Amino acid sequence: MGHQQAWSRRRFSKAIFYAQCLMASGTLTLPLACTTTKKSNSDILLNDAQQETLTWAMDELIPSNGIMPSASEIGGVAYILSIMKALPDLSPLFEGLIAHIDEQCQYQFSKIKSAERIAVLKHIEKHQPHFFKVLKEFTYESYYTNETVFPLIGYEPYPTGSKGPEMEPFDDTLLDRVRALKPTYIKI
Amino acid sequence: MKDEAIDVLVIGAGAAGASLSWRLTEKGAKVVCLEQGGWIDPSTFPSLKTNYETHLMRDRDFSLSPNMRKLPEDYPVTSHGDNPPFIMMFNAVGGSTIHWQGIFPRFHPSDFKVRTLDGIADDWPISYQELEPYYNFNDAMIGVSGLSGDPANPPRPQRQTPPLPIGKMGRTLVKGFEKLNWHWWVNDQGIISKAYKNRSPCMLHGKCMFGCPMGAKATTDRTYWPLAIEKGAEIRTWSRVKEITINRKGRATGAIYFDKEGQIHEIKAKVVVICCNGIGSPRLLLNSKSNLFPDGLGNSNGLVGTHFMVHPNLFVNGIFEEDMDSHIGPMGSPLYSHEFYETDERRGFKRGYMLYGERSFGPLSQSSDIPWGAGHHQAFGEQFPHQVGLTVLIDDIPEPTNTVELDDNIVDSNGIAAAKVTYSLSENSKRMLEHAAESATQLLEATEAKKITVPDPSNMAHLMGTVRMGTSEGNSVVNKDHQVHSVPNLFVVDGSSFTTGAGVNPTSTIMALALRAADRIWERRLEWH
Repeated sequence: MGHQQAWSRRRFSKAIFYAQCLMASGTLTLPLACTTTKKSNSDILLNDAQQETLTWAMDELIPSNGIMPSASEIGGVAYILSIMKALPDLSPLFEGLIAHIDEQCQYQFSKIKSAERIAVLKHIEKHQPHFFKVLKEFTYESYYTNETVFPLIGYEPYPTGSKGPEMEPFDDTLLDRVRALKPTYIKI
Repeated sequence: MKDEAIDVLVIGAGAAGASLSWRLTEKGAKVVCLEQGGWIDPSTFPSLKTNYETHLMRDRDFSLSPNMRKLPEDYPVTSHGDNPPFIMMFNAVGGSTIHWQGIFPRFHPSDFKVRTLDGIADDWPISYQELEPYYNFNDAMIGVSGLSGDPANPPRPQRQTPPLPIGKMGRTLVKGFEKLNWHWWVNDQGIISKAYKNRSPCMLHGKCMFGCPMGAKATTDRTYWPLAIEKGAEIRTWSRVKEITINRKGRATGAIYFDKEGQIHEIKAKVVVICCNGIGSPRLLLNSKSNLFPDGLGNSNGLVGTHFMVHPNLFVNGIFEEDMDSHIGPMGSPLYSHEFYETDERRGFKRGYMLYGERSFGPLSQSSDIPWGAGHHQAFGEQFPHQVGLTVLIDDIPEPTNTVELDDNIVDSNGIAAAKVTYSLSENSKRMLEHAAESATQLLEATEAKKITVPDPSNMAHLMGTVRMGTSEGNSVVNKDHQVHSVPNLFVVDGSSFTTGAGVNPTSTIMALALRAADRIWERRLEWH
């Protein structure tokens, strides 16, 4: 949000006027935010081993299944890296989370069996819930804000500025029974 | 405008401050409004982005809570008591209407006579009939979608635009109401379904709480403020009021405020009107201490900040086999029921509640309770898009022990003491919530929901009752014209003025009260000097 910049009444009115004209004419297509598709040099935020651990952890939370991709298959790790870059305050949480996972499994998290990875994650969920919350919330966020996933779950986002959904107008006859009721409010 | 020319100083540019400023300016008063936030650039609204849901969750972003946003224009609010409320408000031109869902019901006539009818709380010093012309006038000013003819409410003029679509989730709830023979009606909404007064109609994107750049939602930066400014009102943004100033005779003389750079200014006016919401208004009064008012301005009787109300609620969920469309369409509410609104002693509590259908956010919000692991996709697929929300909003009977005070341990970005709220559900509210949970479950069962979830109670973003209106200094802070009892040229107009909370969303009543208060202030203009 950039609303702390000076935004005068005049600029506000002008922006409203043009936005309404363009939206009404359908010529304005607003850019969709999708941080997962952006290339950046944020890889340095986590080394290869850390990213490997994060990949397997995210995929245990949201594994692939049928047509549904796993969290990492649609860029989950890249999403986390973009978050770490945008919100540096969160970096220690992610680094701590990965350290806890590696410490708990006492071996390479990526090399152990799936059942063992799940046991490690359940242990962290129980004993370090604040770290696990970070992993779960951002894994879910990376997945359910990804446009690749939307058609797979039957979701059309209709961002404002695009054409809205078609919905039937309200049918007044639905209220015929209620309309015939006597007033139920207390008259004073 | 030069400060010496100011007739009325308004503090706060939200629902009340905007409508009151326009009304007074239109009549000829010289009005200046101090607002601690700024104009919101509509191109920054999260609703324009596919990841819009994340913006309600991040610190320093578009969160509903000032405690999460932590922007310089916000102030901290600490929450205490047996049921500490989640505090929601927005500090900008437009105030909380920026986040608002646009649900626009009116109080019932009985809501103004709770003591007379039910023997609890207090009667308002005004009646529904006195407010009714202002409800009608305000509707015409901003444009309301809906349908007149509801037998659970007094008659009202034809709505300015037709009802918004209720969608499949709405029709599903209708089946339940019809099966049970319960009352229901389409909601009045401050969201226009047809073009009205140079504003575009709703295009049903369904992200009303994430900002409406179309202007279909009646935020006051798009409705009243342009008209008020055209007539000569001035808004000074990024201007946070530290305290109201008074003279030796006990009359308000203006205010001391910080600008964006932290520079301090004094502004003089003949009349001062506080419109800072149910937390901000008592906070400002309590922060305005002087020799005449050592416990805070207007607080000689100790009532400022007491009787805090928040509208306890339940978000009851039904899951269906069929696909639903809860995530599209206007986010507010397609329909409501006042089946349980008026008091029925057989239910074991006083007053009543509203049930209303409520649209949901997108898939991210609905994923939060889905378990992780091998069963994740199946569990998510059973919930989305199969969910129908039914919200319970109960009448919040005012309790003197529910309070807004100053929290001297925390300050805002200008060093002004933060607010501390304390709230516990009353026994009456607990019984009402239990009854409402059963009613909501009964309704969703009648719609053949395959799974119903009743969560713990939470609260709405409705901040009310803390500068209450009453008949005397013994029972209130302001009189029926919103005039502070002990300071004749100081007025407080917003949700804090409510004597009781009713069982409906408050915004239409706040705006009607503000228009009425403006008329009362104007009628006394000969007393301004």
